[in-house]
Amino acid sequence: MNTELIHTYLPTGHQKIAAGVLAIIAAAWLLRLLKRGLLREEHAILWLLALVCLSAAVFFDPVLTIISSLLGTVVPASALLLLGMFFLFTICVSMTCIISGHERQIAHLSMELSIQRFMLENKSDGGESDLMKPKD
Amino acid sequence: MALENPHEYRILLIIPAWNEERTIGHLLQRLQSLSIPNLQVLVIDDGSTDQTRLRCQQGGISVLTQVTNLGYGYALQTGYRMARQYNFDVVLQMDGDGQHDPESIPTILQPVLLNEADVCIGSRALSSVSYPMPLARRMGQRVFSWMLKRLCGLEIHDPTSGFQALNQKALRLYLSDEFPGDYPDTNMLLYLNLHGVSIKEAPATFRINEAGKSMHSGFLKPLYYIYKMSLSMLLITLKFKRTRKALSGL
Repeated sequence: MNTELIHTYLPTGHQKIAAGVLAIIAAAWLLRLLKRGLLREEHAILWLLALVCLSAAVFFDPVLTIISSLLGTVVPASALLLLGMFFLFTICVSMTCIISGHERQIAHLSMELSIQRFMLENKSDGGESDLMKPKD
Repeated sequence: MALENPHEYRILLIIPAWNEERTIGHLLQRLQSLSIPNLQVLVIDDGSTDQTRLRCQQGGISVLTQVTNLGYGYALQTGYRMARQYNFDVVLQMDGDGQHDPESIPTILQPVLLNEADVCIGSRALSSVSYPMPLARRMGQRVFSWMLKRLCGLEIHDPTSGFQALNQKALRLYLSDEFPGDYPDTNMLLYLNLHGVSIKEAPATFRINEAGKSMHSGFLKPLYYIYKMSLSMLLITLKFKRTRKALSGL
């Protein structure tokens, strides 16, 4: 891979400053969400990891050069984009798994609640339904 | 048809129903004309927005209303939980849309009561009364029947039938997390068979859905069903092989 070409397209100082400002805003927002309890620590880990990795790639030229070489991109910005997309994909899959787990938990809770309500309704009617009569 | 040894068992008939006010009343009347001792009926109203619950109450049938619409599979599983809670020996399940003929109940129950099988499936394919099915559905049924035979050697002509009788051995497995919330069909037969449950088929009469609506109707739903069923069967087979391999190493 032509590293000289990669070095030509490394982020400029201006771009690094802009990236730094955005990273600080993102970090502050995440920390605020964590502090207010709107975001749980276990769900924030991937976002924080993404922020740290992308920031390291932007601010440290050797890191971005290595990543670009590994991915085979000529323009480092493409490597950053791919890295960002990878993190987004990972976060989406992680959230989907969490949703699947929650769906089952909600279904179980709903079933149990429905059964409890049925039992309560039958008690308040003043008697037991035939269903509740024990085996002879 | 008179059942042998019906008095020895407590039987729970579960009828999951969602917005079936037009058919549930008639179905319950037909059920009441059956004389099966120790048969108790429980309608699982899956969050209906019509008068399904009222029709059941007017018919004097126990009805459990879900706090929210959870789907066919979870409605069935709520019924299974009730069966376990009240120590029923045998569970029977049928649809609330009038498709399953109550006259076929004794035929489906018999093999389970006689311990000839843990699960008995009411099969329209074995019935002398023909049931008109769209070509696509018939082909789909044949494909899943073939897949079932290839994966576990079980030959079931009507693997998507929801008209079933099962004993406590099968009930324990149906209460597992493996039981899907939407389409518990061929995949669950595979699951049961791999876990040593014996399954039999018996002829049953099916009628055309009186409301004219099916949970497999439309274009996207059948496609989703094919995807879900195929993936589920593959995963059940892979999980079982992994579990068996892990256990054999112990």
